[in-house]
Amino acid sequence: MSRLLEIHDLRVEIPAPTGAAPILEGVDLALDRGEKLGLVGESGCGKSMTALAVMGLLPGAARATGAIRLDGQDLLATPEREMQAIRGRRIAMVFQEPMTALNPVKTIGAQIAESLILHLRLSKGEAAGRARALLDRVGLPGPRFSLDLYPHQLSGGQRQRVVIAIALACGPDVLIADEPTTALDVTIQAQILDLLEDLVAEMGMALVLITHDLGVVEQTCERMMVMYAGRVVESGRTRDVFAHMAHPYTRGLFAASPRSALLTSARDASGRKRRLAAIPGQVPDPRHRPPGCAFAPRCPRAQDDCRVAPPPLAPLGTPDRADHAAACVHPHPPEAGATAPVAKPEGAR
Amino acid sequence: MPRYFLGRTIALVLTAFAASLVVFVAMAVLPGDPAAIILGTGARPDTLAALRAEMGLDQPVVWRYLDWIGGFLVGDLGTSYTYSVPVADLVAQRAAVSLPLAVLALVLSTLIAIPVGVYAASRRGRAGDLATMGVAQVGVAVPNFWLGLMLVVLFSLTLGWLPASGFPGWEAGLLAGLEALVLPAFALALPQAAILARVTRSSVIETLGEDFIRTARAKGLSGEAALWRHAVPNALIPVVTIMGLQFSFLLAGTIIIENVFTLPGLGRLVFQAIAQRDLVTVQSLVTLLAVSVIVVNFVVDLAYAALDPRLSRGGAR
Repeated sequence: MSRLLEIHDLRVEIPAPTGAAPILEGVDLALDRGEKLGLVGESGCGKSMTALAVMGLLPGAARATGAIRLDGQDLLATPEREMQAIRGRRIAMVFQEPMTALNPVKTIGAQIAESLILHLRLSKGEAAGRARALLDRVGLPGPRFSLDLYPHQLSGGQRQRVVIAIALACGPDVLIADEPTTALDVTIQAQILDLLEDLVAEMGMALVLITHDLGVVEQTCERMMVMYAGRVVESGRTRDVFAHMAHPYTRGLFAASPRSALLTSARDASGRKRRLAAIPGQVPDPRHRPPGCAFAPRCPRAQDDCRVAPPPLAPLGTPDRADHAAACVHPHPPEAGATAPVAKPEGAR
Repeated sequence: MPRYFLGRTIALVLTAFAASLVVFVAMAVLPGDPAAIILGTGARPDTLAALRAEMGLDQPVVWRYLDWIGGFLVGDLGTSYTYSVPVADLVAQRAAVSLPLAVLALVLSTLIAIPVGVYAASRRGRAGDLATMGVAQVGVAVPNFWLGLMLVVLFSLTLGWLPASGFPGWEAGLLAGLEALVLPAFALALPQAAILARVTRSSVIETLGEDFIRTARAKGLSGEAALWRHAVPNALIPVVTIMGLQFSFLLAGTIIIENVFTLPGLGRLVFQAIAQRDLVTVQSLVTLLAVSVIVVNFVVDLAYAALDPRLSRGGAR
């Protein structure tokens, strides 16, 4: 039986005069109904490109190869006209920037109703009724939040609720949320995440949550994938990945996140104040990636054999952690995972 | 909306008064006594004084301004020195040519420019874009009088479809009047359309890069639908500004085309009045044109409000 969404060996490249720049290489992903998958990594690692490839909305020059299957149908081979029937209907997306994601000259009601009219062939009146119900559901109740409001009359968090209502309008099978809370105030972030989680559970959708915040993934997703320089470097059940953190990049990402500071003591053994550990170096330019593991130049564990060929994503073979895989020549051994905090402290959320 | 409207209206009235003051002061400090010009250099001083008194030129400047602007407000624009008819009648006669010409040219220019600009934007960097923008580049560079002459050569002299020049008056019938205005309107519209198409193109291209276009595509809208339903309404806001400027120009800046087609329009009236030192006519006419430009800008402001809810609706949360 085919999975709901399956990406196999996805490669996206942008042709350049100096030779094609590979944005994504060999990305694999599988997702079932009701599942929540976190996609984590720094800016430019290919998270958003993966999402846009699934939507069929890659920038003009980009070329995608491999396969993206939705219930067995290869979306990369699907003509644009059919993709239009899938977008918004079966796969929907929530974007990072609620301030600019809505059309400033159209009412929020019209923007929600648009896909209902397009995909479900509802009349204007029916679509307006449905839009009202959606706004109520995402926490913008009438009559205060009328369908006739314009985006500029709402705050960032309220706008993101409208964007979510648009995405959910036709009851999609897959919802891709690309950094849905990054642009919002911290207090609003949790509300929006809660809302997304509730809606995913209620509607039985699959969720792909793209974020650079490991804490968000830990709270929300059963499975996660860590991406670096266009490749998946570690994947598995969230608790397995957090318990082990086999790839040095995953550890670096964790150490660099403010949440790690919350989870560990603010002062180290000698009583000095801890600083967040930035990962040294930069993400390599897609045109000039090192021949071996792309993380090797920044990696504390790198050895000569890391620089030969990019390591494939391979199962780590840890007992009871079947899905846990990492693309690393010298992964951290499992027992060392004990140094990484595993348990969620009470009230961390 | 009412607040925005009220604010714009107050601005309109104040600007119009300021314009009338500037025009009046400029005319008042101009060297040359209108009475002396009318009577010639050999006039006897007592005749001159009598005429000055009759024209009100012996009155204090402030009184003369109030007298003039008071008349202006009730539609009395003074009496032309050279034609000895009320300036208001002259203006009405000429506006009956200039106003339809300006409207026709603006409509033509808009009907050509917006589809062309949107088309070029949607084909950015491809053959269709390069071809249309190449033509537009030429269109911007071509002087409208030359274009007018070429149109006359083609459509009047060669094909004989339309009159080459003159205006029969609206009494001759709507069709005859329109026929006389078609060629000058095209001659005015095409270079303006070229500019407007370029503005439209760049505005649409900018809008197509906005996040909300991606949102529209993610909903399942085709590229075409996202372009027309989401990009174009946003892209029109700067285009309307240019249209307002162009209409202001068309109202009075058409003197060359009026001469090419020997049309009795406002542009020629201004020119003749200045040449003949018909100061009252110049003063009233220039003020009237200034006011019409201000009114056009007012209409543009209202159009903004209609196009952009951020201006007309408060940001209440």
